[in-house]
Amino acid sequence: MKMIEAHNLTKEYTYFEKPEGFKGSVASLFKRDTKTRQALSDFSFSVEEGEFVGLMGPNGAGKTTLVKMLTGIINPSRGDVRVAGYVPANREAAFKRNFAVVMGQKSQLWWDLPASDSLLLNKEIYEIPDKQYRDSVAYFTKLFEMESYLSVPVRKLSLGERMKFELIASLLHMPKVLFLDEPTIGLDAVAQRQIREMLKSAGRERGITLMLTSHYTEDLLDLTKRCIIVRSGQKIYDGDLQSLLAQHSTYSTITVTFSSAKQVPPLPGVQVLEQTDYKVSLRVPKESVECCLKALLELSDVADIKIADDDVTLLVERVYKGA
Amino acid sequence: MRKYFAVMSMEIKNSLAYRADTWLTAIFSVFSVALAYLLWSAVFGGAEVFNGFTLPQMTTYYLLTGILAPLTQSDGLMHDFSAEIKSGSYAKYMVKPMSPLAYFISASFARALFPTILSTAVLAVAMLSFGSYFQVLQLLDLFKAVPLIFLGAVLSMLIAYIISMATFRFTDIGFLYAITNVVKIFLAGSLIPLSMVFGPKVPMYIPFSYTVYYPVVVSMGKSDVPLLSALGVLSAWTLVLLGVALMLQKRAPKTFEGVGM
Repeated sequence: MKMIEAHNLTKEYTYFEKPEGFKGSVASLFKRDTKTRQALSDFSFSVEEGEFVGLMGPNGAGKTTLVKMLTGIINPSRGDVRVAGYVPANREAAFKRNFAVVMGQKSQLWWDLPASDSLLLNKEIYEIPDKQYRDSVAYFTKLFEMESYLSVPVRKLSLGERMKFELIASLLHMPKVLFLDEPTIGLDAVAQRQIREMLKSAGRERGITLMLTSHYTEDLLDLTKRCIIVRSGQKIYDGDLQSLLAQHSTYSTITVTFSSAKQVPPLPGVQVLEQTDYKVSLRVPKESVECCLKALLELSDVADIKIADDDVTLLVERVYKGA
Repeated sequence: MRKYFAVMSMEIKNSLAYRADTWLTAIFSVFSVALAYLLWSAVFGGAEVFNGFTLPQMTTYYLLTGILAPLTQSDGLMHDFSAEIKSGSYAKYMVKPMSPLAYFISASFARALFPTILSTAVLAVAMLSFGSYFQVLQLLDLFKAVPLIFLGAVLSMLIAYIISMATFRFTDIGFLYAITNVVKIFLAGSLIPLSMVFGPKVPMYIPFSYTVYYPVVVSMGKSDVPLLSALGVLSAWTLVLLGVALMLQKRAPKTFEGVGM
């Protein structure tokens, strides 16, 4: 069953252009140039129930605009979209009970009150039955290891703890679709990993369909298999993220440590990144990795070998540039 | 309805988080009455009656407008909603199964609750301690004023909500705040009893007069208009503005761009 279906979604924004400087500011009081910018054009895709899909793209590509249209926050200029069988722009209460959206930089928690109060408010807003509420709070606070923080005012919590409560608040009413926009922004590596693990567990056990927007490729690689890449408002890729990165990974870095001093001879097509008597680091085209390894092993006294792909950030940059 | 009682409960708990602010607001309401007394003493200049009001009646009028102020001035929420529309945070009301208008009204009542109770208590003490400076209020008049006070509060909240919705169209509504401040002061009767300016009948046709002027003069037993007539006109205004607010709740967000999200 398709949980999200979008056909030729297009969003145009109008904005005013103002000439720079004081004179421009005064002139704009009387006359302004109206411009139109296409944030998303003819965007079509679908997501199956229970699928985890990543949404990638550089800043200003149109990712958040897409999420805003899928959640009914803004109306599309053209095109059709259905989420859980509903047209988001109609903003029906029944539709709103079927999804949740978490924006990493926007909070739904009440700053001066304990998180438990914000959870209780969501219970009433979503009309969650008492037993379901108690069970869900117990389940998620245990999963996120947040039982002991329920009574702490939100302003006293760390960024990671707050994000965990944001997720708990969003999952209480058992949404069918969860939209996450940069859920791990600003979090340290440990908190990022914890949140990914928890999302995997919650998704697996509750059958949630997840649409994740993130600039952290690790989030996307860990949580989603399929990835949609947006650039300048257009879909440039929809498919397996690992294989896309593999396509763009044309070099490997081979680092060899020797137990005695060695001098590595020049190898055709290979760039030396770092060289000492006991260690060498080489950037090798993928097709030359085997030959290069043979040549290095022939030098003997090899203590350690590490082979790494290109840095994932560079790969993503290449993908965005369409190289 | 339960969800809006939960909103009220959250707002009340939130307002109690900053106790000093709550207490100081109540205490300073006494100063405004004292200042009003000094000002009107100078205006009366020893005269018994001025434009149909005695000095104790004028002081009482001021005291009662002070008590009603938290109920009739949803400025905080109006600014909050406007800022949220401008910053994109308004989306939080759009993605949850609730009515932003009902949220606004329930939150306004909740925010007004403690300041109203505290102002009433503090000003009641002032009234009992300095009885000769005030008019004696009759319990029956106060009861008669209750429905007017309630509907008047709803009317002023609807006005504040409608003004905040203008942010969808104009983005910055500072000019509307300036207009509403003037309206509140002069056309609602916060500064001067409207009968002094417009005579006894005209205020009946000014919607803002039902937010402050009529609840206060009915409480004092000084209304020139029968209670039922005042209630009828107030109900009609409330229904009209409710219709406008509901229409804006549905239509205004169509232009929302969620900029800043």
